[in-house]
Formats: sequence, structure tokens, C-alpha cells
Amino acid sequence: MGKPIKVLLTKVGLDGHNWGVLAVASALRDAGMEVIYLGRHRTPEEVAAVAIQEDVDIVGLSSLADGHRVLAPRVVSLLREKGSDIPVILGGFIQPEDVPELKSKGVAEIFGIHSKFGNIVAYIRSNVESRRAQTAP
Amino acid sequence: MFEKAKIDELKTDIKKWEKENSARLRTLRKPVEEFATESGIPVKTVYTPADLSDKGFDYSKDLGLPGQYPFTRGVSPSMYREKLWHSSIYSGYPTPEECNDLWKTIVAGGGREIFIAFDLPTQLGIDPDNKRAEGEVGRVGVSLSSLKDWEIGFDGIDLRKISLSVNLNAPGIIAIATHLTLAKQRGLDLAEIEGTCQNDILKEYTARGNFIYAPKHGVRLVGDTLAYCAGRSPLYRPIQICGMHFGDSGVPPVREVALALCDAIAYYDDATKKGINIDDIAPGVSFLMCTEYDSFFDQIAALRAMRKLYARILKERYGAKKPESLMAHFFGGQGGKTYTRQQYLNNIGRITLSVLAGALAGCERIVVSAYDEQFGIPTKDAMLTTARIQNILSYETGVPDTVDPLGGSYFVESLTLESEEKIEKELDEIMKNGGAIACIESGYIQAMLARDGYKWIKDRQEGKVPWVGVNLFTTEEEDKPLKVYRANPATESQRREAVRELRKKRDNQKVNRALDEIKATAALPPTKENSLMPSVMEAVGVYATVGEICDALRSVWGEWREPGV
Repeated sequence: MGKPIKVLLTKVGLDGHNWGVLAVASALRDAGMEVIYLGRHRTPEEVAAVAIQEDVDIVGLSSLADGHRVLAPRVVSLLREKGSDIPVILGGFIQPEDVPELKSKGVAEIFGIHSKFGNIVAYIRSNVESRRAQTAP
Repeated sequence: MFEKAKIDELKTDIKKWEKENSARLRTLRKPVEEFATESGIPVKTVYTPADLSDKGFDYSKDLGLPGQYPFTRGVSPSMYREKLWHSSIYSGYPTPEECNDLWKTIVAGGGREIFIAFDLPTQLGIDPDNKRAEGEVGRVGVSLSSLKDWEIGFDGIDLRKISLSVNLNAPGIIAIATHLTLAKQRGLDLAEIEGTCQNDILKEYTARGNFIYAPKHGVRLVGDTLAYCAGRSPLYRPIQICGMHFGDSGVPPVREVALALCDAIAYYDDATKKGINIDDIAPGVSFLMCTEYDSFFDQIAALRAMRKLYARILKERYGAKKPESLMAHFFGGQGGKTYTRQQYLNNIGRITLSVLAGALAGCERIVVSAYDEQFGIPTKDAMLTTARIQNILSYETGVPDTVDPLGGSYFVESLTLESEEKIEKELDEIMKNGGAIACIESGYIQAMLARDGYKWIKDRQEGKVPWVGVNLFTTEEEDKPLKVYRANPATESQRREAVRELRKKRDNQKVNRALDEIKATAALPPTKENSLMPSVMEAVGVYATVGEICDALRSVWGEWREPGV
């Protein structure tokens, strides 16, 4: 095992429901990951800047009020514009019919309100480990 | 109240009974290891007068009659015999025009209650044409940015014939000012205006998240609205202190009550320190509390204990004299955290039990989520079903026919006494740490919520707490989406246009003068004399927008950044 997986979790946009994202933060910490939680009301620009500055392995956005349809793809494109390939995942209240579009706009994976912590942990681990393996010297 | 000799005799009987049945009393149905409420109070096999006697239960001191101090049995002498609880439906379509249609339909159908859900930009004091509002205008409720929008929304509706509840907090002062200004504009007497504004900013910093300024400024605005409405509009309740959002984030009932009470204390401390008389403001306060079915007796007992504790706090801490100041009025319900997408029709059973819990706890209004809220904004059919479930409870069951039907149950009274003790302990702990504002600034309450919320989900994911359709009696089924309501993306440009149009047509000199006045007042010390209510009324009256008024305050106070968790 290398250095611990570093995750940036935040809420982007105006939605204030943070029960889920705080619970996911606890679950990821229990799984040995390092979690930076940026809090609520963050703009896509702030999220992208912090993700690059903190050199995180993955960004997790939480959204329960539909703002993600505009904001999640924006975080992805801001990261790519700055030459970063940090994957972005999304969790919360996501309508299944929106999933294909969000994925086509670069959101790596989408979890729902009833997703199990174990599945989120497993996804992040395998995603980050395979990316680290690809970029290993 | 209990004869000692009789209690001793009963205790001897209990010992004998325990001995005779010892093996069976030790056997618990699988997989239960111990019985306890969600709040952590152990639940015994059976309760008798001996439990109440041991706890020093005294009927007059602990319960009293309905409508009498300490109000444990309810704030009204006749409760639902005189007036059934209001069954509320929380609604808000994206534009004032669509809302006007909806609200006219409600009123034409004999409804008198309108309970508005706002979109997030309005809740955060951001106008539809601001970049930060992009993608969020009209998504989770109506976008009402100015008096102009209220004029459209309430066109053809007599404000005296409705009770209007608005769910705004950070810009609560603006909603109250707009409601009153609209009434004045129509030549109405403010004393005839009935309604409430949630206006409970403190829980926004923790459980709900729609805050703008730092907690001390938020509390100042609340105090100004309480003082303004006192004496002017007795039917208007300018705040509804919320425990429900804590409960809806997985906090157990006893802690939910302690958190609601510590927030109430923060508002009252602030107001009374400014020299505002407690008896002028306390009658305008009510509480929004959880009545979740999954902690059924726990929740009911906690609310009965809350009425009693609240009355004591108002009497002893604040020296309130008016009986109405001592009454904790409850608006009960839940936000659907226990609902499931799996076998979603089961949610109808969950709704029924939550409404029953609310009625047994003596709530005067009850609002519960619709059975399809795990899929999106509820459909009309689902909202109608919720209303009918409330009607069935109200008219078909006989539940409302006697006041506090659980009063006198050995179990419920015992649990009420234990809840009271536990609530007091939790409240003391928060007060020792400096009270609500200090505990928000330090992140103490946020950490508490994060712990409880994580445990709530984990226990259910791990199957420690049974949840039908999720970890028990599950079926192999696709997560089939119902037909869900989606906001029309065209709404956003329509709303952007409306606010731009308003800025062109109004007298902008007057607007700027009013906004300058707000800035000047906000910079002054927060005293009774420096209330922001008059200058906000002025700004609203000349059609300043919610975003502009909030920006004026932001320019003086800045925005609040929450501490890390």
C-alpha cells in the first residue's frame, strides 16, 4: 500500500443538505482515506482550484437539489481545462434518467441516496489504485 | 399520589412475577439484544404504578390539566375536540404565475392554508440573474424575488382569508416585510394577517444549510422581526423554531428537543438583552418538530416533556407572565428520511404512523412528505393521498376525541419523565459550552450531527436497525423511477427576464436610498432602536429585490464560512 487515498468532498452550488456527504466523509475516514471536506455553497471554480492545489486523488460532489445537472459537468470541465485528470464522482439525489448525460459529460460515477458505504469505498479504491498503477514510474 | 402500602404490595407482586417468569423474561425475540428507544432510554418488559412512584411522579406537578401549566398534556383545554390539527401541504411551483394558479385552486377548494416552498436562490438571498443562481432557479420551489412577484402570486387572493406559511430563514425578515407590505398596500389591518415565517436561522448553520451571514447577525435579524410583529400582528407568528431538521438528519428525539430549546434560548437571550419584553414576543413563537413513526413512543414522550420544560424555562429563566408565553405550540411532521424507494407504496403506512404520532403528541399542525418523495418533487396524486391519510386519521379513527390519550400510560409517563431528565442534561451540556451560537461557531453541534447522522445510516446499512424493503423482507426489483416532476429549464430565463424588467421600471433612486439606509443601520450596534425592520420594509416597498437587500447586508457583514467537520 502506498500513501493513503486523498479525497475532496464538498457540496457545490446552493443546496444545504449535508447529512449524506458528512456520513460518506466518516465512512471514507473509517476506511483509512484522508478526507478534505470543503463545506457547503462552494462554486465549481473553488472546488477545481482546491482539488488541484491539494493534489487529491478524487473529487466527490454531493447534491440533492438538482443543481448538479449544470454544476457537476462544470467542475469536470474546469479541471480538464487546467490540465488535471482528477476523476469527479457524484452522490445524492440524482434522477436515473440524468445519469447517461452526466456520464457523457465526464462524471466518472454516480451514487444514490441509498448507496452502500462499502460500494463507495470499493469504487474509490479501485479507481484510484488503477490510476496510480498507470502513472507509476 | 401513590399510597405507599399499595406500592410496596405491588413491588412484592412484581418480584414474585419476575421469579415465576424469569426464563421467559430473559428470552428476547431474535435478533434483538436489548430494548431501548432511539434516544437510548432502556425499555422495560412492563410498566406499573411502581415505576411512576419511584420517579416521584406527581399528577399536578408533572402533568396538570390540558391547557394548564406545565402543559404536558397540551396547550389547549379542548385540543382536537374544538379544532382538528391543520393538515399542511408544502408546495411551490417555479414561478409566481404558476403559484397563483395553484394557490387560487387551494383557496377555491376551501383550503385556507398556503405553505410556500422557495427555490434555493431565494432562500440564499440571490436573484435569478446572478451567476450563482444558475441551474437552481425554480428547481425546488418558487422564485419570488420582490414585492412585484408577491403581487402576482397573491393576485385575487384575500390575505385575510388565508394563513400563509413561508419557509424562508436567512432572508426571513424580507419575507415578513413583504407579506406585511402587501397587506398594507391593500389597505388591510396588520392585526388581521395570519401566517408564519420559519425564520429560524440557527438550525440553518447546522442541519439545513441555508445561511448567509454569521450567526450573531442572523440572530439579530430574527430579534428585529419578533419585536416588530409583537403588538402589530398578533395572528402572525414571526418564527418557527425547528427541531425537525435535526431529527431529519438522524438525531434522536431527546437530542432534537434539546437542540430546539437551546436555539429558543439564544433568540430569547438576544431579545431580552435588548430590552424587549419576553411576553411581547414569546406568544408569537412556535416549534416545528419531528413526529417520526420509527421512534414512536420516544418521539411522543420527548414532545410531552418539551412542553413541560419549555414552560418552566420561560417562567423561571425569563419571568414570563402571560400564559400564552409559556405554551410550546407544535407543528409536527417529518421530511421522509424513513421512506424507501424499494416497495415505495409501503411509505403510505409510514405516513399514517407519523401523522398518528403527531396527533398523539398534540401537534396543532402536521406536515408529512408524500410517498413518492424518494423519487423527486412529489406528484399531485401522492400529495392528495397524504392529505387523505390526514383526513382518515382526523375523521375516521376517533383519535382526536379525547385530549392526550396516552396520558396516564405507565410506560408513556415513565418515558416522559426520563426524557425530561435526559433533555435537561443535553441542554445543560450545550449551555456549559456557551449556548447555541458558541456551539455553532466552534462546530460542536455540527460534529454532534455528523456522528448521529453517520450512525443512523450505518445501523440500517448493517441491518442493526430493521428497515422493511431495505434490510428486511427485501424483494429483487429494479429501482423503477416513477413519473417524477421536473422543473422546466425555460423557467430560469423567464425569471431572469422578470427581475431585469423590474429593475428597468421601478424608481431606482428610491431603491438605492433604501439600500443605503439598510447598510447604515446594519453597521450600527444591534440594539432595539437600531432594528432593521423599518428600513427593510422601506426597501421592499420600493421594489428592491431579495438579492439586493441581502447584498446590502453582505456588504456590511460579509458571508459566513462554516467550520470544518
